[in-house]
Amino acid sequence: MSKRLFVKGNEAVAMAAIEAGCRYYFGYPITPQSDIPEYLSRELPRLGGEFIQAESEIASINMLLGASATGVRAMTSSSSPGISLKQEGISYMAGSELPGVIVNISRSGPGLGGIDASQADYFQAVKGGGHGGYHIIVLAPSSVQEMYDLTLLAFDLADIYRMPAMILADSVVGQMKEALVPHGRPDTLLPAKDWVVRGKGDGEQRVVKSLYLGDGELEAHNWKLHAKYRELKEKEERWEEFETEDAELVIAAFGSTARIAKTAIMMAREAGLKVGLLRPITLFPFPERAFAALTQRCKRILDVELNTGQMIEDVRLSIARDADVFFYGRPPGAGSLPTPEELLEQIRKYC
Amino acid sequence: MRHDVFISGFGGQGVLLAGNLLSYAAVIEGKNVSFFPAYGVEKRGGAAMCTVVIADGEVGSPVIGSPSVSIVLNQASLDKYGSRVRPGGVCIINTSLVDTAGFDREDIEIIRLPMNDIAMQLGDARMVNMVAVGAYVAKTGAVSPASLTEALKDALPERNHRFIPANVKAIEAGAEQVNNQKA
Repeated sequence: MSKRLFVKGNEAVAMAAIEAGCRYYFGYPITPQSDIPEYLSRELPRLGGEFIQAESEIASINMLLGASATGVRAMTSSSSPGISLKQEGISYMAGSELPGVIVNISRSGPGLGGIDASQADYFQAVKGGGHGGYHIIVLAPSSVQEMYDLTLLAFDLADIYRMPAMILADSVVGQMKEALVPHGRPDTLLPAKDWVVRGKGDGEQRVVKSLYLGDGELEAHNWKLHAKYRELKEKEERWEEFETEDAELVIAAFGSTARIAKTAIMMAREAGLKVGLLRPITLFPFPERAFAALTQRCKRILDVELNTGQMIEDVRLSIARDADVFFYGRPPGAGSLPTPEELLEQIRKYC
Repeated sequence: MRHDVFISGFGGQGVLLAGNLLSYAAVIEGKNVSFFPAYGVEKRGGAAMCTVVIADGEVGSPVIGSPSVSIVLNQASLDKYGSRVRPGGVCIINTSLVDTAGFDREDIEIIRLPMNDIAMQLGDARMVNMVAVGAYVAKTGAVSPASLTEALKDALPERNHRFIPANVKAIEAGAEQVNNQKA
């Protein structure tokens, strides 16, 4: 068994990227994710990889696009304002069916906002932040171990579905330290990359592009992308349930907020309140079926987010009219992090 | 078993090292632990704080509104966070730098220790954080003294390992003060 390490969430992401075989990183510094490039700038050159601090976020996402087009595993990371700058490149990657991992250790906005933890990038992440009606895979870790595990998963899912995958976290999960047991890549069967760019010199020329001008070409391409999103929904929804069996109220929360909610739930249980947690791990595909199944027996959902209400829309869509959905959230910023005690007060309102 | 502690002071007092040390000791003991530093634009001389949660089961929230134990290393921390200690909890205060005259909470246990003076007697005021950790562990038993000693190797960079014996003495001095007050 590996030794239990004690590391920051951001470091766990970087360690997992290396374990996943990622040898190319392109990024531009921004708080609170700079531990990721710091770690990789130290480790990648030793492994024969490349670390490039690009001139901008836009340059780094396009470097990721280029690297992925050659078939290698590559990554970029940033925080909210930087992720906004990358959206054009992410749309091009989605259109070009390119894998690649993008990490968003999000901070509060809009605009430059502040450096504090935030979940206000949910819409941008799961609804296709750039133009053209695409989706990317979005994974939301809530512990240091999960930062590691889900980064490994992100690389695999990106390769399997040929689309970008994002790790969406915040400074709570990124900056906190917890025990981590590193482990090898899962033994996942990956499709051959028979699509990587190739010139005419080595046989058939292969082009990676997102431009489709022929009659009907683009429609067919979009239906193909859409089919992948449907397949993701069928096969890759992931979530965690905590104390939901007999729950009369279930909190829906992801990432850092789910962690805070867990302690609130433990406190509520001690007080005899029947409360549970449903934590989406994949934000796209959103675990619709979990919510649909849960609300067959539990009729009250309290959605908690570190924003003014975004995931709640997907919760509502998932359960139709099967349950009442309440909301508690705060716009992010300094001093805005809710505490377990605060969430317990909210739980009491609906129990 | 579940322990949460909020440690605060100003940058340079070793608040984050104290939290890291406790966390490493918990990792050594096979426990679950989260260390959450206040993350802001602070630097030396500014405010520094961290929350450590140690549990046999799930840690849950890495942030706590009303900690069961609060370690207060400077006046600003007491003024700002003293009222947050959970009723029935413990507040360990560095009276070398903190005036507790206006702090009259009868619903918690207050442990007053002149931590800077104790550290200075041992040769270096910078060990104030180790005195605090020693007092905390003696009070709560969150981790064992042996694990703390072991954890110093993980928490301190290699070049500072020569200071481990001095730090162990400071931890022991903090623990002794608490044990004497108990007796």
